[in-house]
Amino acid sequence: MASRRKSLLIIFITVAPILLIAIGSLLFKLKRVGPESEVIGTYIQTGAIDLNYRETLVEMATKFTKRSRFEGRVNTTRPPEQGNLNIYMLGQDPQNRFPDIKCNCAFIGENIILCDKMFFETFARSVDYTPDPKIPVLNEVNKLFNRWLGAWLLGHEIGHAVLHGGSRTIFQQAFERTHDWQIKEMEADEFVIAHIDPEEIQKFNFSLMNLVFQVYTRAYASQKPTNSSPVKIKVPADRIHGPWVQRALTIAALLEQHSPAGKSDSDYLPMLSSEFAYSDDGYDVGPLCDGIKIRGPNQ
Amino acid sequence: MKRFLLSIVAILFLTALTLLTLRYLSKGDLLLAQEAIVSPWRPLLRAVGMALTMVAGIVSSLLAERVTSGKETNIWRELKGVFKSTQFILAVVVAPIVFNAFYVSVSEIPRGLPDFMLAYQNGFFWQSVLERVRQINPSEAKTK
Repeated sequence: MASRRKSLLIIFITVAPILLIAIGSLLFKLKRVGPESEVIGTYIQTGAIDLNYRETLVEMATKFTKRSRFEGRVNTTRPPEQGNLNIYMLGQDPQNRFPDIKCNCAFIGENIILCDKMFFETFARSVDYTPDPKIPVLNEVNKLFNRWLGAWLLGHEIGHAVLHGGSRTIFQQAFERTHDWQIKEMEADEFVIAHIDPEEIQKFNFSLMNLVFQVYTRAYASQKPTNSSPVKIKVPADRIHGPWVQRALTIAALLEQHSPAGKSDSDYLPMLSSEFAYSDDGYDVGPLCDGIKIRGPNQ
Repeated sequence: MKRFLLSIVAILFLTALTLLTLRYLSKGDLLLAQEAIVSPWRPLLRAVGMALTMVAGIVSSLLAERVTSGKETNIWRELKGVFKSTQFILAVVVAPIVFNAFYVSVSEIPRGLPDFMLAYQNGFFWQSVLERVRQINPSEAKTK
């Protein structure tokens, strides 16, 4: 009986590592060549991924990948490549393989960033001023917003890829908790700020402030708060991403610290921030998809 | 030999459960730019997945009890015995109470593997969970 147990133990000791290696290799395979890569390859061939964004994506990626392992290694037109940062603009999802990307932009692991084209377009143009041929400067202002809001969005996801991509395996994804995500979100926004050149700070700040004012205007119009009370802004249910306006204000405050002049003594930003309160029943900017903007001519 | 096979079955079961959770139920834990528009089916699927994981925990607990009490083990006989036992019927009857106790302890929106492991653990120690629920003052339970 004892010798039988002993032999069983030997078998177990022999089999267990093999089983562990088999499981490990299976997981590694899932990580290394995820089915997402194949789907992206198909989407590139069929045109579901819009390759017309190549220039925009490369230009922004060049800015945000400086001094990182992805510097000079950005791919936007070929199927995902290991070691490169792969960024794509998803026009359609015919196989419904990326339901989470709908009205979103995401770092999905494996050095891949996917953006819903409609979301990117709507967000980047979310505070468009109605073009007026009599006021040509508005076109330039709109271009400025478009560039910097788009840069914020993509820079944020590139930040995730650079800062959180190296070690983020499928296992770690599954074990992450809400708190870890909140920290990662803040780090990605700080990454964007760290890559803004000093001479660009003002432009980015101007775009952020316009977003803040437009959200305030919308919220004020719908709530008409009395006694100078702050307007209420809806907090996303996932409790991970703050409302866009809150994020814009946080970034603006950090930008101020990064500006060549240093942190201002003015209480402008704290006062502006105090005009907003955050609750579940506040004003919601919506999913910023399908051309429904915060301000501007909607499609 | 049977015990060894039982261990292998248990390992394979847990592996399958882990892979299933990773691949489907935990899917969507991406680093998104903003809150995801979640399909109304996903929270339901997760809740069902966790309930099934908890039942798996209950079955494992009863199976472990039977295996440890007997000298010789026949896997299929023990498994059949679990499903025929009054303990199992009792466990299934009280499962909603155990599930509720566990469900309120995880986040509002359940996500990730730890929640599923907690579901399994609560199923495995269903008697202790039930005892804990029983000890809660009814008025306190009402406010909770």
